[in-house]
Amino acid sequence: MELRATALWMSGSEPEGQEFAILLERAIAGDVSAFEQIIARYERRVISVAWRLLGRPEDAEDAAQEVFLRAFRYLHRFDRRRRFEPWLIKMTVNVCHDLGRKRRQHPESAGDPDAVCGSGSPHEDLHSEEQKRLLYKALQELPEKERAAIVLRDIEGLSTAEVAGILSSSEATVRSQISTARLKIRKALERRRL
Amino acid sequence: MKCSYSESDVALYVEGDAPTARIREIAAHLANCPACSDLEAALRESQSLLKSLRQEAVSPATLSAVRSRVLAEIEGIRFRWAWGRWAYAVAGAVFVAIAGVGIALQMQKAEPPVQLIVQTDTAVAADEAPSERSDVPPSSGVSAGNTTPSGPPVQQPRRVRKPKSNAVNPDVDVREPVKPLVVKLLTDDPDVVIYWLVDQKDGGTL
Repeated sequence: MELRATALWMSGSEPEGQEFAILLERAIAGDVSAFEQIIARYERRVISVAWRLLGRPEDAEDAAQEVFLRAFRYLHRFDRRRRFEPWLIKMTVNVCHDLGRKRRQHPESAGDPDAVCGSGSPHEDLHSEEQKRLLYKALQELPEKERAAIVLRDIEGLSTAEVAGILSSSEATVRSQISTARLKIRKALERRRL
Repeated sequence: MKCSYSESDVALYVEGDAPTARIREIAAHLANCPACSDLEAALRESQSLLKSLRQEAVSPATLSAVRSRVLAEIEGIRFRWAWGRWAYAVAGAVFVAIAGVGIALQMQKAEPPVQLIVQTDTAVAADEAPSERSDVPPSSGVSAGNTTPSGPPVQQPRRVRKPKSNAVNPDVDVREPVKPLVVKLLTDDPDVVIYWLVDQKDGGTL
C-alpha cells in the first residue's frame, strides 16, 4: 500500500479528488481533525524533503512542524484549482531555506539512526549507512539551488516542469542545475572512495 | 580524441532529461566514445545511490512526534485567537462605555442650567411706583410721598438713595441734621468746668 502511494507520488499523478477537496474545505473552515488528516497524508513527504535539504533529522522535524503551521495559517490562500502537494513542497523548500540561513549546517551528521527504518542485514545496513552518510555529505556541499533541484528531481521524483514550478525557475535552468549537481555528486563519491 | 559532447550532456542523458533528438545522438556517441561511456557508467552508479535514499523511510515515532507538536501548536493558536476575540470584545465594550460617559459629561458642560437673573433696584422701584405700596392702609389717608393735613403725620423712614458712584452731589443733602457734640470736662476745681463743643458737620471745634 505504501509502495503504491510512493509510486503515485513519484509519478506526480497522485489524485487529489473530491474527497480531498472536502477535507480541504473543512480544514479551511477550522476543522482541526480534517487538517490532521491532511498532515497524516503529507507528513512523510514533507519530512523527507526537509531532511534531504537540511541534512539533519532534527532540523527536518522542526521544518516540517513550521511547514504545517504555515499551511494551516495560509490554507485559505491556497488556489483550489491547483494541486495541493506542489504548494506544500514549495512551502517546505522555503521553510528549509529560512532554517538553513538561521542554522549552521552540519554536513557530517548523516541522521539519527532511530529516525530511520533499516531493512537489510547488519552488514548491508552498515554499508548502506556509510553510503548514505557520503551522499548526505555530498548533498550538503552543493549550492542551495542545485541541492533543491536534485533532491526534488532525482530523489523525490518530480518532473523537471514541476521542479521548475516549485523553485520558480525555468526548465532550462533546472536542467542546468541538476546536470551540474549530478556531476558534483559523482565526483564527491569518487573522491571519498579513494 | 576530442569529444564533442560535454559532461552535462551525459549527466542529462542518464536520466532522460535531454531532448529526444539529443538523446539519440548521445546514445550513438556513447557506443564509440570510451571516455563518455565511463562517465555514463559512473553517473548511473551515483544516481542509483542517490535514488536509494527514496527507500529511506521516516520512523513512525518521528511522524507521530511532529504531528503532535503541530496539533498542539494549532490548539494554542486557536485558543489565543478565541481569547483574543473576547479580549477585544471586552476592551471594545469598555471603550464604548467610557466614551459614552465622556460624551454625556461634555454635553452637560456645553449646556449650563438656565439662570433667570433679575436685577431689581428697590429704591428706584419705590420712587417710580409709590402707589403700589401695600404696607400702608388706605384708610390712613397717607400715600407714599404725600401727607394729608387732616391726619396725624406718620413718621416715614427716610429713604436714602444709595449713590451709584462716589461722586457727591452738593445740591442734595440727604444726611440727618447733626447736633453739635458737647464734651464736658470736669477738673479738680468744682468751679471750673470746660465745655468742648465739636461741630460734627464741618469736623471742627466751635
